[in-house]
Amino acid sequence: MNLEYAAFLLTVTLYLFGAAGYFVFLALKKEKASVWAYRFMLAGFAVHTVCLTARGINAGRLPLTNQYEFALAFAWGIVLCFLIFVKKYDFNALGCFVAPVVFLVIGYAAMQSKDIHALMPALQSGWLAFHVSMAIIAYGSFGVAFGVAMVFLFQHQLQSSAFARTHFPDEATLDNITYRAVSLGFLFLTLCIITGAIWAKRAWGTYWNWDPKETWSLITWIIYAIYLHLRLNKGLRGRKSAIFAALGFVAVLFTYVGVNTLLAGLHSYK
Amino acid sequence: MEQRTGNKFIRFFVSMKFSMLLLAVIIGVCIAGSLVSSPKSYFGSWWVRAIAAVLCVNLILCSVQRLPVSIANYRRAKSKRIGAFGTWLCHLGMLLVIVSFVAGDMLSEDYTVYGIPGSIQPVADTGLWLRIDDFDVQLRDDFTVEQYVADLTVLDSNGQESSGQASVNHPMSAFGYDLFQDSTGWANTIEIYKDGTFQSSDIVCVGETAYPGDRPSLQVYFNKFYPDFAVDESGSPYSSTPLLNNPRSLFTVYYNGEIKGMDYAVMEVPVRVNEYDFIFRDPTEYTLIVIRRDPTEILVGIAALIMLAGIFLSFYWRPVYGEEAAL
Repeated sequence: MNLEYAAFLLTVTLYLFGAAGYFVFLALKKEKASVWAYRFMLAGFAVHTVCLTARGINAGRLPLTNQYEFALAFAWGIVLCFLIFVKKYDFNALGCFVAPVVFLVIGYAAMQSKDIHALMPALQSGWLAFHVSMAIIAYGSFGVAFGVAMVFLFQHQLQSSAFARTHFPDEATLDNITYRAVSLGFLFLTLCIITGAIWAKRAWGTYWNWDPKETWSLITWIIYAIYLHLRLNKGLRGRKSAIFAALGFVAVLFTYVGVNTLLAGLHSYK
Repeated sequence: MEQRTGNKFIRFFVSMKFSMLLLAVIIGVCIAGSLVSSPKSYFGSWWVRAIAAVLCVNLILCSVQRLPVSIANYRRAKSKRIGAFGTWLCHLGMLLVIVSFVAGDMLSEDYTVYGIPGSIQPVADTGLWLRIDDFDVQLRDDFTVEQYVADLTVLDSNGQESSGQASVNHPMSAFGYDLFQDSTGWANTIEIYKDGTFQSSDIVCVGETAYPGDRPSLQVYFNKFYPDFAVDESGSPYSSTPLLNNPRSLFTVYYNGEIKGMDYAVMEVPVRVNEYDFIFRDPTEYTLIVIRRDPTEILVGIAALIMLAGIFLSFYWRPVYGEEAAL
């Protein structure tokens, strides 16, 4: 078994333990479980980084070019943003809703082919690293926003107990964290779209080809643009705001998984 | 009364409600567009452009309406004052992106030329000629493509020429145009003989048709080319490698629109259909070069930068006010 595969299996295991720990914390109200869950996520992130590095060394290039590699990087981006937001807002319980998403994405990666293929000419570009890196941070931020929005939507059930009031921020704080995560993701999604357009210009001579992936990135961008407009100008808050943020992430997932599997286009690299 | 109705209409047109409605409509248009088989013609249709035009007008009016507020906030702010223009710049950038994209669509020149090495062809009515000096499909050991490389020379009517190389991700520039290595395929020389007498010789690409000089009702359609012809267990033909080890060409002969025969031609070996002999030879890879000029390129870049700056200022450089709040 090579290092990359061993690291991948260990990453999946650690994230599974992390998700299970957060579940125990939430269901059985065991505070210690969340502390251990966070440690598993942190350890998982470290091993995950080793896995990505090993993949890059084995492939001899940045591991960002097929479904397996992007799912691996996507999950890494979500965990990175999760760890930053937990640190910044002292909100470890966020893991209750983010860890399952991470586990699902890495589970999707596990189902993909791990074969290493040489890059087709269109993918041999320096813009690939910029474009996909921006997507990873954007998707990671949106993943965290989704997790916080889910906490918000379950808030009414959670707030009834003293346990929840101790471990979960109030609604205004949750709303603010969602907004912060969405605005970070929006900035990086814009960068992702712009760098992709520059790359398309170099490769095919046009910025925009209305490829399904491009179109769905635009749809995702518009959904979050509506969210930000309504929040900044119309005072969108609370439940509606959380539903919007969650819907945006559904668009993100469709852009990533749905478009690649259901709609053929320039991004469907086989 | 009419003026009041007009004002009401303009107020609705610049309202947040209308903007959000418009964005929701665009989402619907985009979802439908991602499902159609020809998205370029769908998104280029008059009604999609009309929606884009309405969005532009909405953005202009919102920007005009927002500017005094941004200026006032700029004056009131104690620090990070430039942040007051964040949302305004974001809208301006978005507007410029749409305008330059549509203008680019209308003003850009777009031509395609394809041919085998050694061929020289006019580039539409530009007064330029494109000579394909060489074309190489660089293969790896596992026969996957490493790169497509075309050596090209562009000649103008004054006898000036500009030579260079175009490969994927590395376009060549000449006489204000960018030349892109777009795609490739196989071509054969097809010679046609009637009762042993030479009739015609044409270089024909896969998907094209050859005609004997004396009878245009007879056509030879070049269906497919197999550089290394082989047959699998189910009897289906395929090419086992991209190398010219055992080249065969699949062709169909039509007479007055009816199929008269279909066969695999071995190179240099005549294939007889009635009194005609067809000889396929010289299999060569042709290259398809896309030649483009987009005068809006700089505008697109500036627009994207303005939009990015606007988003950054809106979220991460918000003005700090004293006791007075922002407007």
